[in-house]
Amino acid sequence: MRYLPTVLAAFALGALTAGPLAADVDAALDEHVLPRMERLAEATATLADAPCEADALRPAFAGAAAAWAGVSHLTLGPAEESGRARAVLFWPDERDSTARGLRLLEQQGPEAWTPEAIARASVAARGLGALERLIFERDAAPCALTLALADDLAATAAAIRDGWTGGFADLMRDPGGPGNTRFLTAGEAEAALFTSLMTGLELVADQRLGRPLGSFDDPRPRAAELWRAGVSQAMVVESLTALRELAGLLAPAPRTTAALDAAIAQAARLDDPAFAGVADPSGRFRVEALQTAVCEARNIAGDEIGGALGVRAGFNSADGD
Amino acid sequence: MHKLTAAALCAALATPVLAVDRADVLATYADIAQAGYTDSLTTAKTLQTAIDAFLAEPSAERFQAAREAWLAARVPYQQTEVYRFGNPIVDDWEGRVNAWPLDEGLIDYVVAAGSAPTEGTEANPAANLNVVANEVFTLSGEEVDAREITPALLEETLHEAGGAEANVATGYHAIEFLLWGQDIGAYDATAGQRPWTDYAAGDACTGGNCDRRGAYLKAATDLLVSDLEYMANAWGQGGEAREAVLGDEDGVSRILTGMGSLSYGEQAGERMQLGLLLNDPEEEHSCFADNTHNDHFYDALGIRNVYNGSYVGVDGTVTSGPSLRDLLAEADPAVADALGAALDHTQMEMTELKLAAEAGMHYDMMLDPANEAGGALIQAAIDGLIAQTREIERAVTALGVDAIAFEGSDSLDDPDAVFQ
Repeated sequence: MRYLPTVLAAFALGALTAGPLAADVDAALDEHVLPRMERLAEATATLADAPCEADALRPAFAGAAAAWAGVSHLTLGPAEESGRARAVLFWPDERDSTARGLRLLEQQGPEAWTPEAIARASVAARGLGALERLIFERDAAPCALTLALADDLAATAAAIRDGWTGGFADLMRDPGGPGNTRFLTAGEAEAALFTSLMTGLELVADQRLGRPLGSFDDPRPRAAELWRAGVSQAMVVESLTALRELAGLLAPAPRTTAALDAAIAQAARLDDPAFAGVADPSGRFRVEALQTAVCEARNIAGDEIGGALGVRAGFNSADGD
Repeated sequence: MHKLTAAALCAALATPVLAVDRADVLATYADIAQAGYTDSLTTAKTLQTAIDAFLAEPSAERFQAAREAWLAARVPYQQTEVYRFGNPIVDDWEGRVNAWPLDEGLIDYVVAAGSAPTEGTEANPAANLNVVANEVFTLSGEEVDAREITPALLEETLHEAGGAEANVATGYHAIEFLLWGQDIGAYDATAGQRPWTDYAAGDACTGGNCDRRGAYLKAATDLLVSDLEYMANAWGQGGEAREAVLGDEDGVSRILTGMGSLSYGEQAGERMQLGLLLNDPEEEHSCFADNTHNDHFYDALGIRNVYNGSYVGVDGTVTSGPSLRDLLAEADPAVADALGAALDHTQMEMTELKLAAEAGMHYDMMLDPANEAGGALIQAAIDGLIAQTREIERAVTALGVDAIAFEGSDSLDDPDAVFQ
């Protein structure tokens, strides 16, 4: 997956299409990006406003996690700035930095739980990953820390939304406009959205499903995303649903949306909220089948949407190792 | 083809569009790789000589000489990292020589004051295996006889043992750990403080098992040399890596893929932004030697080298030729200049970071959340890498059109397409 994937494919693209379509960037922004960013801000605010009781916090947490899954493919711009996406959820966390970061915050005590101090703390000690440990493993204690982290999460989500509404969306709408060095041509704005689509599909296949799958001999159910909260499967469904929405807005893409509809139905049928089933052969088979379906949808999207738009996916943040 | 009249052909030859031959650009790219890996091999052999001399007669002076040889060996190697993501042959091999980060407790003793796991973790049950101290141990359910520490033991049994990538048993960073030891003080100016007596004979030995530690250091160094020998040959005339590039119609896209993937996902993301966001000194690329500023500086320089088609070797020899920049300048001079300027800008930011580190503010001190100025130095370099990635994408677009024009039979059938 790491080398040559996008650029090579890209060189062949233009030859296939005589007159590329223009993606409706406005529609993608108004019907996909902005409403979903608003939803993330609202869901995290709901979590921050919930009383400090596990019973109240748990459903609010699930809502925030789902809202995040619906925008986690939009890694560009406001989410990338200051590492905000990682401050919403630091995952995968191969070295258990969440435990270390949280321990440090606790040792520092209540005076270190101010908004300013938490904003400077390790991203692994912030956001959904840290809140999951507190809410689902420790009955939300200490309460002051849980509330402070929930407030910080809501602030991060609001900052991402404000970044989009307060400038970044306008840059996408006006490529090549005065002072717009971010998007020089309409093609660059389209390519950025197309890259988000492709990156999102890879994220589902390689990380959200691939991490817990591990290998047959060494399945890693505890590497699943937010497994303690039991929302791993729901996040896959949410993410695929959002990606299907984006695909449909970027270009007429009947093959891609059909492939994604099938994958969404497959994901919804899994009945394996935390992907614990990857450890037994039959459960594993179903998750692997879903992973294959998502990979296929990705290939179809690259072909159908990339071909229709005459754009290529850019480099993505998962290109490293 | 039939439409390509003699007049059109002459016109095509007369236009500067064909002045830079893509094959020559690829040859320069391969030449720089060969020079870089050959320099990496030469400096690794110097390291090997220094380590052999130290192990033959351990002393503080000889230990220091070995450390200096390691630092020198990193200078050419880091400049070759730009070859990794565009060339499967390099990417498949790279994990043996430059894998990171590592659970160093696999290799030797660690203390709780450091940030390495001192016991097995869920992700890596072998994180505290300590091969130096244990002649026989169980790994993934199987008993391993490690009475003799050989390159084969490191490479075949220990490296990535149990499927854990943090089990780095070979390469530069394993050697670095054996030469410097754990970097204990987070956010302070000290590197690892391993005493030379960790290799001393008899009663002078500290840390226990000095002979086994020496055998490990020797085996890891010999392995590094043989791995680099393989890669230097692969880029030589007729070598596998060179032939793969020269024979690839989309060879230019390999150069761009390597530049973009290293700039963005790997260096800006994994190696720099992550450390800053986690404030974690374990996220330093060379945390034992505190050499991370140089890792980043020379990685960026390597990207600039392949773009400009010029590499200054460790003995001053310049390897240069027709470059990607020349090719791009013909397709779109503005994009070529913008990318060149973006790479220069990043190099300047990297230089500022390197200067501050060399003047005493070590990279792990910059990661201290209380050190805002240090964090800003790292962030500026990251921002430069992200900005240059955007210019690399623009270069892909500019050259993509051109590449199709040169390769696609459609465009030869329609000569006008060449000049669009």
